[in-house]
Amino acid sequence: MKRAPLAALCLWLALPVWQAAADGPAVLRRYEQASADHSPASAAVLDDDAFMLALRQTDPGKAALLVRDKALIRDLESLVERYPDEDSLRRVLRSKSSEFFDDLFRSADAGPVPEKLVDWVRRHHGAEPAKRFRAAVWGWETLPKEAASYLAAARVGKAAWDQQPFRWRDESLTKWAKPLLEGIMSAPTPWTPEQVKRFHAQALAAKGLMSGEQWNATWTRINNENRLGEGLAKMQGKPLGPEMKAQLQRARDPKLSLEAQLDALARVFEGAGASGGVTPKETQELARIRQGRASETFTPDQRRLLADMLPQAYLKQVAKSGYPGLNDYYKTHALKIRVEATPGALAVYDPPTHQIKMSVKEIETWVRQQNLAVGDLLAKKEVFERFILQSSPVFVHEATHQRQFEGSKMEDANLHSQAFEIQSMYEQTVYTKLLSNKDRRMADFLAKDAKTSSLAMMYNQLDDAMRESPRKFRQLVASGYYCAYPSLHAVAAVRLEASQQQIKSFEAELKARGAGPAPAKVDPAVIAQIMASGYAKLTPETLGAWLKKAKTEQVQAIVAALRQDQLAHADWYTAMERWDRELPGEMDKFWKDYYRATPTTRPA
Amino acid sequence: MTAAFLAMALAALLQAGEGKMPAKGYARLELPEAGAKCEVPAGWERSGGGESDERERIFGAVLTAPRKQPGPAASLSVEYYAPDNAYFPSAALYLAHQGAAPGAGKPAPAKVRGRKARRWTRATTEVFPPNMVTARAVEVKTETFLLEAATGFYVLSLRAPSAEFPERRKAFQRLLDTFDGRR
Repeated sequence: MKRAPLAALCLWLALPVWQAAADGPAVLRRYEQASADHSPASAAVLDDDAFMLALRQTDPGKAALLVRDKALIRDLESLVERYPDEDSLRRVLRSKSSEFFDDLFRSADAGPVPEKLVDWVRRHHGAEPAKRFRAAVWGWETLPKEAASYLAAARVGKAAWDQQPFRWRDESLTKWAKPLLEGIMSAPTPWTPEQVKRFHAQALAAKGLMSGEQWNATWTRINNENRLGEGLAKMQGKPLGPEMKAQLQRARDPKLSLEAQLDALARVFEGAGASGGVTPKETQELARIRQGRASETFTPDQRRLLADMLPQAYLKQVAKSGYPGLNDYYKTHALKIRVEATPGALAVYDPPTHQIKMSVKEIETWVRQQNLAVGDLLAKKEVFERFILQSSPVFVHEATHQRQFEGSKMEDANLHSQAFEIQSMYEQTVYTKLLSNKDRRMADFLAKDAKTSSLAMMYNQLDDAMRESPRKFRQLVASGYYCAYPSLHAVAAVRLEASQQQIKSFEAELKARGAGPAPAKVDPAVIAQIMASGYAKLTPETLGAWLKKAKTEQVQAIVAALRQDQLAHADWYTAMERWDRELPGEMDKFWKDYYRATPTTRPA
Repeated sequence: MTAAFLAMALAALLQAGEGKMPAKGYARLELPEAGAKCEVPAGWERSGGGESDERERIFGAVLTAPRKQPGPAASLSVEYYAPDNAYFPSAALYLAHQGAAPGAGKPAPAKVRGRKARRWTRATTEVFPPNMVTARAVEVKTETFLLEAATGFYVLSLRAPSAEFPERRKAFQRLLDTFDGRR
């Protein structure tokens, strides 16, 4: 990591103010022109520092709005470029808040009807991406054929469909798909091969309606059911002792959870062993998906103990790799690690608490795959060191997030974006490369466990994409790992729009009272006083009552504070966007130094 | 007379190679920035292009097949590496790097519509679902053709889960048989 986000922010704010030659009317005329232009090229106005600083001085509110609108245009551009298939594009469109989605179309010179967005894409990018967008927003002719009879029964035809916004279409089709998906997830086990095939086909028909998590959960269920069915068929008719027979019976018991059935099957496999025709690989694969046993499950005390052991061990491991910067960073910043549930993730960084949370479930899975107990991880030095070695790239990933959030001085988790993930994956990959070059154990792990350890698989896949080119690496991370994450542009636009809505409602109140405009600046003591009055805890429902009782100067102070906050976020975005643009150059240099210069030699 | 006129017009178009209808089930892919065209399966989703093409000076498209099952999808790609591209100044360097990747077979001489090329295959694994310890490895096979151009070079490839590869190979063959690179 060459440059922290904070440095970029400081650089932007330190631009000489004299550049902002105050020619108010001319600045506002240019603002009007720039606002009316919704072409992709219009976003370049944000790169004109002299103009943006002049606008910031002339009318800070308009400067923030221009940043919001052009961030929306840039987000649209990133949607066109980064999402190669309609399903991932639809997922990212779906992940946007409803207000944002409407704004997206509004800024594209269109109303709320999705086809207008498609027109914008066609006008600026041609027919192919427009086709993808049309499918993503459920254009009539792109609907799953299996949904046709459902819509016909609901008396929904093309004309009515075409008039509906994306969310309405998506929700209508979700109603159709709901029983299909619920049927897959609730069908009693074990499944017959015919059921596996049928549910597989149903899942494919409804794939465009699933969130990333649903998609993964559905596929995992089908895959695990398939594994159970295959395992049961394999052991059918094998000579087994009474205990193994009882376990086989449990593996067939539909009253047990699928994971418990898989555990029973795993016990049969373990009992049968090589003489029963079961390979160690088959047993290890089941260990990944079966229920954990008591010795493989952390108690709260064991979780706390492990969490206490991790920081020093990770920093020591990172120091050995030669990966720069991280150990220095933690000389001045606290490293707090927790071992907790982090659904759907190997680990997460939590900006408000400054904590890295490692997934307890994933660590337990690692323990099972090693054929060990939790106690072994905590007590045996060799096992603990192996775990630290293999999981340390994940730690570097989360530590990068900590540096991103703390460095940019914006510790709001809602500002998390795909740009942060791309950088974190990049830093993780740099670290893995340095570590495997220095430590033979890591190189061996990546080579020998390439097909059995999901950590090794992930590190290898990222390394392979980077070896091919940084371009492929970015594509893989954006569309393969984090396709539902919003772009940096979307994150900023949503935040600026949220401030704008609040400002509008408070200004309406001031107007109704016949009060003057809010001051340009506000005394922090006044804001502290307002916050102490319980303002921060207000909800949209209780805000109205509070507003009626609030003094006019308090409302004016809030408007001023919101404007300052909005401008701070506009500045944050400007700095982050420039920092993000520098990342590909940094990746290119790393690739040339570590990959192109020494292409892997062919094994003899 | 009208019919005769149409026949003549059609013949002229065919001669020019511009009006030839794509084979059934295929669509024409035109890539002006790459100076290339070819036929690709109709209904495969196209992506690529945009700002990064211009920044990296690699022009082309990726065609993604409808998924047969969750996990990696088969894809065809046509790329033109301009001489000033960000990564490989020459086809030889590309070959030394990509043709020697782990899991790659030995690059061998080949031809694409009479043009000299180098061909190699590569076996890799992809992870699904990504970012989870419960992920499984999916075997993936890639077949690549590298064609030198007067300036720069072309890379044509098919990437597909190994189990799906044989049936996708037909679409790749059609791409190769119709590939017209003007650089």
